[in-house]
Amino acid sequence: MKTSLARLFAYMVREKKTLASFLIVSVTGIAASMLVPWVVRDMVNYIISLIGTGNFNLSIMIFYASALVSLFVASGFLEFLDRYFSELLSQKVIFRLRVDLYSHLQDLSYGFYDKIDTGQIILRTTGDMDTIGRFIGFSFSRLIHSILTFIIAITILLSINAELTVIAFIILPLLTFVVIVFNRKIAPILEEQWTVFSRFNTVIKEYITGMRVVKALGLEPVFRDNYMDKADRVYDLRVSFAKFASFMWPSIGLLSGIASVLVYVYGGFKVISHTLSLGDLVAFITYLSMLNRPIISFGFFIINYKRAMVSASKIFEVLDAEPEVREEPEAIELREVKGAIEFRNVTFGYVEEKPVLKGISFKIRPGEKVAIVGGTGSGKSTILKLIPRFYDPWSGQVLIDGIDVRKVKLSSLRRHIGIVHQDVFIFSGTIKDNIAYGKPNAKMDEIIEAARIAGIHDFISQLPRGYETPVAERGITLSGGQRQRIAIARAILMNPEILLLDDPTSNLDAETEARVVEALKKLIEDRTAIIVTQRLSTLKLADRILVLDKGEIVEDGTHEELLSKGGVYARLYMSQFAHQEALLAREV
Amino acid sequence: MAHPPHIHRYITMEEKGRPRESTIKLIQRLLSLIVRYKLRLSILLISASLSIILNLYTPYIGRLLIDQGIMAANVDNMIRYGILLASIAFTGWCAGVSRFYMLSWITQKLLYDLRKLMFEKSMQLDYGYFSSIEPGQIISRFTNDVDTVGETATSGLLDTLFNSFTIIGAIIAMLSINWKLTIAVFFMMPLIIFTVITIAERSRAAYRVVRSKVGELTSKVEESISGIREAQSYSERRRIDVESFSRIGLEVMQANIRATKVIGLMNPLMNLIRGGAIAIIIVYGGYLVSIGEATIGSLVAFYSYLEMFFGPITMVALFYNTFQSALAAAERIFDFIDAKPSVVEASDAIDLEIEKGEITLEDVYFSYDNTPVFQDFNLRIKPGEILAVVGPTGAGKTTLANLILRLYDPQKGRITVDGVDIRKIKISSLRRQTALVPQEPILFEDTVIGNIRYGRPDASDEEITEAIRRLGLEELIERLPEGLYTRVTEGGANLSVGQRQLINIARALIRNPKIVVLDEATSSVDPYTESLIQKALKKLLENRTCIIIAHRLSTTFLADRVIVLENGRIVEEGSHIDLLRMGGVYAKLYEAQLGEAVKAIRMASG
Repeated sequence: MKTSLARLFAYMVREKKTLASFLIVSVTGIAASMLVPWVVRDMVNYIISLIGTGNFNLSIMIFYASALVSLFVASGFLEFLDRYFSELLSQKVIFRLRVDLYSHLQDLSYGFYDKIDTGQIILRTTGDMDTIGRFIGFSFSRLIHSILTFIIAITILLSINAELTVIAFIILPLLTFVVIVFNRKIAPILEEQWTVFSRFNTVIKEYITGMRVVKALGLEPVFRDNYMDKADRVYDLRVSFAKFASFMWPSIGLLSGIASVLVYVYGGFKVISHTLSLGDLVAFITYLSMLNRPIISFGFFIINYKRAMVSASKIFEVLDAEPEVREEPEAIELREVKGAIEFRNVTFGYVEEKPVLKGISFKIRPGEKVAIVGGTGSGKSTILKLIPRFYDPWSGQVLIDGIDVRKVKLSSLRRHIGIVHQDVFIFSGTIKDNIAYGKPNAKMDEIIEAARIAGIHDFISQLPRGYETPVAERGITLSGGQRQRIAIARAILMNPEILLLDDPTSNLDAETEARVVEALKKLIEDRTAIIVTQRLSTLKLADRILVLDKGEIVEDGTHEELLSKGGVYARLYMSQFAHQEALLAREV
Repeated sequence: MAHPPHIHRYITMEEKGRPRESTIKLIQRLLSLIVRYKLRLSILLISASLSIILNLYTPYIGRLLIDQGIMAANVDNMIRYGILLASIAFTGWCAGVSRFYMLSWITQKLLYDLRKLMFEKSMQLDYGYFSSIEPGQIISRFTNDVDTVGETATSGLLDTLFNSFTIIGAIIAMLSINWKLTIAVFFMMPLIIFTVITIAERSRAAYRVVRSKVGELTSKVEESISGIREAQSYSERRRIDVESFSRIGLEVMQANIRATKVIGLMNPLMNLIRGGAIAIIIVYGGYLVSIGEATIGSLVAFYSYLEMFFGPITMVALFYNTFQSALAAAERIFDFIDAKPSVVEASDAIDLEIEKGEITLEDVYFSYDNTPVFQDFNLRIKPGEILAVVGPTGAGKTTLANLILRLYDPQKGRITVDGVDIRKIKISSLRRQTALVPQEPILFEDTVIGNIRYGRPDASDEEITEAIRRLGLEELIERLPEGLYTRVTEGGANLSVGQRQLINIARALIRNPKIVVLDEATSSVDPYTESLIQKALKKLLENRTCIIIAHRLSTTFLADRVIVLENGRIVEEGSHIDLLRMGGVYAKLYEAQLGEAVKAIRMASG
């Protein structure tokens, strides 16, 4: 496994042109800025030669001035390009990484999403990307600068005067030492600060959003302790950071100040003894001061490097996650589907050694409508998830028209299966977009027809903007019943042979429920349907009922058969309405 | 020349309007906050002034070293000035360390004190205040606004003050070296200010675009991940989603590059201006040297002062640009700190042990904004009675519960517990003996047991296990990956809705309250969990005075008495069965909610 840095580097190398442009511009820019003290040197020497002569030659002075100004302009322009290309490089890398990550997230199976929290994933595509962006666009480019500046400056310093260079560099190890010590001290502080601060924000968020409970239960003191505890920690960490930081900056100033005094005095002797010109001395000091920045940048580089690598490894971790459900290379295209479903000895669970389904077998004929009932954790919804291969069974087989679903291309399998979930997800966009979600190229009359069958067309047409009405975040809020009917229209538009209904009416009031059931009835007509439900009204849509208990099928038959049997189903059935006995007693 | 480190922050800072109050007043109040740190503030002022003066002094000594030492070939002078320079550097180092440290300390201490102050305020403020402002806004006051006040408004203000000193000092130094040269150079001044302000404004506009594009990207990801299960059911989606994500990603990239182009102009343009100034020094200064009106050392010193002038002037101009929005953040914090709580503990409030748990509402008048929710409202809840409150949305069910819990105070009339006006009871004493089970269960980032313990922070593990056993939840807890010690992720995302509700019920039970307010949950759960919840609720309501806010009528059969509210009035009252027999509002509501099921049962059993 390659390191995160190497992989990040591979992304950078892919942007050959941008990377090359950046490097060229950097070298040229540094070279241009390095020429400045050179010109200053000649100029100082020239001015000295003028002292007391009164022999002022304007054209020579203008020559020096314009040389300097054009160097300033050129290095400024190059600096602009430098910044532009480094930002371009970082943005391009981030863009590719983001798209790779996003595409990969689309392919990861349910199992992955069961274990990870949404906030974490969002952080990967935003916060972590920004960290990497800053690293490439800023830290990395500064590092390249530091290195180049260092090499060029030392070469020039040596060429001006080797002795002075040695004198000046007595201080350099000290400077490097200061920066390294500083980094070693503050890196862990910054790390901890980061985590403490994010925990602090969580406490605030929970406190404010849970305010009613906080006030009603008098939880303020509990939260105060928690809050102040984090606030104390944040304060301590920031102050201890400040302690090191306040030594760092002045120390660099002090050391470089001392270096230039040494150079001035020693250089002064040489000027007096005519072994060095004053211009050389001034130029030397200017070059020396150019080294301060690279040293500081290098310090920052180390901090940002660590943080960027943490972010990068988190991103690569997601990119490396293998989808648990994978398409076999020789998977076939599933063209015509009649809609027979079979479970053959299927065992499956979410947590190792805790199977939810224990060797389940059943057969569903094409066009049959089967309801699955059972208590919490009995595995009802799990059965549904195995059919479109959101998960693969541990053992046994799931077959559609006699073909193992694992032998079929995922996309072709899912094209034949429609699903209506308990909670319908409404995406931002228009109502039309939401109905056409699974078939984005659907024609308008198809969409209207689907909405009509789903019984939502009337509602949509009375909206001022009709099908173009925006929903979700930026638009109107749909009621539970409306959402369900949109989901039904979605499924109708897809025209699948198999329908899976995962408790689609559980969150509705009775009146809405009746209307949704009406729409469901039309939806499942002429299709195979499996309905997981706790509601009687939806139960009635089925010809046959499977009763699940602790991962096993315990009863199988029609509603009437099972009720008269007086077994698990009859009990489950009564318990749901137990509290209505009083009412029933009155009426019967 | 280096970009000052926070130049980027000054430009990219989020803007949220301008303050209403006058700038002067807000600055005064900000200063009054830091004046409290007398000792540190005086050390800061002294060390900052010292480091500025020493900074300004250095080029002057440097000039003497060149002119009277090197140029005059005077070794003694050279060494003397060299030593002087070194000792100035050392003193400057001490002053610098103390200046940086004191400034950071004051900033951090101020942030800490503000955070503490705000939290204390939040404890005094009543629920009414929090429900009138969006949670996101309050959260941002506690986080972003506090940081902005500490770092930009206060520490930035001090920084700007010091920068101004440096600028003034540099100008004076330049004037004293050579006033003609100074005036010549100062023709550049308006150009500098114009450039900085224009670029800062343009780049702020550009970064605003970046922020909004990043926001788009974030919501796209958020939506994709939350809807991933839906998306994967439709094989067509992958291509479309990746395409639209790439498009937004590309827009983010372009916006960033556009912003970089704008801000990237700052340095080259400043360099150009600096180049102009240097050209003037060389040509005009060189001329002055040649006629003996200036020395070479003074030119070098003059140049150093010019550099000292250029850095701070950019900072000051940029600071001015963002100061307004920093002040607006300060104002939002002051508004919060100044907010008046409307539920206040009376100075003579008593500790009351609730014996019976009798509640009365006498001639209660309450309104949120002048449209009354309750007018002359009267209600008596007997000790140990279970009262269910039913009615359409907006009838005042939740308000009634909030009044009984004293989350709000009525504007007229009074509410008593065991005959004592609840405004005469210490808030903490009232809270200790009441409990709320909210409609939407609230879970905190803690373990399951930790979440239950929020009900009574001193409850032992044994007491909690005992409560769980009494509620009949052992099996449910056992199913969790690490039982009671399972960590709850943010908002309880890793638990089912039913589990969350049950934890909230256990949390209420562990308090052993005299009065319980149960806000019925609306989201339904599977029959098994539903029956667990029903059993647990029965246990919770035993031997206590209970008010049930019945949204779905799923618990009204537990009540001794049901009242039906409409527009703040009781329109029907009686037991569940009585009201059904009466065939009025309640019977109709019940029919609508559960009729379908009732009909089905009748059919099945008949």
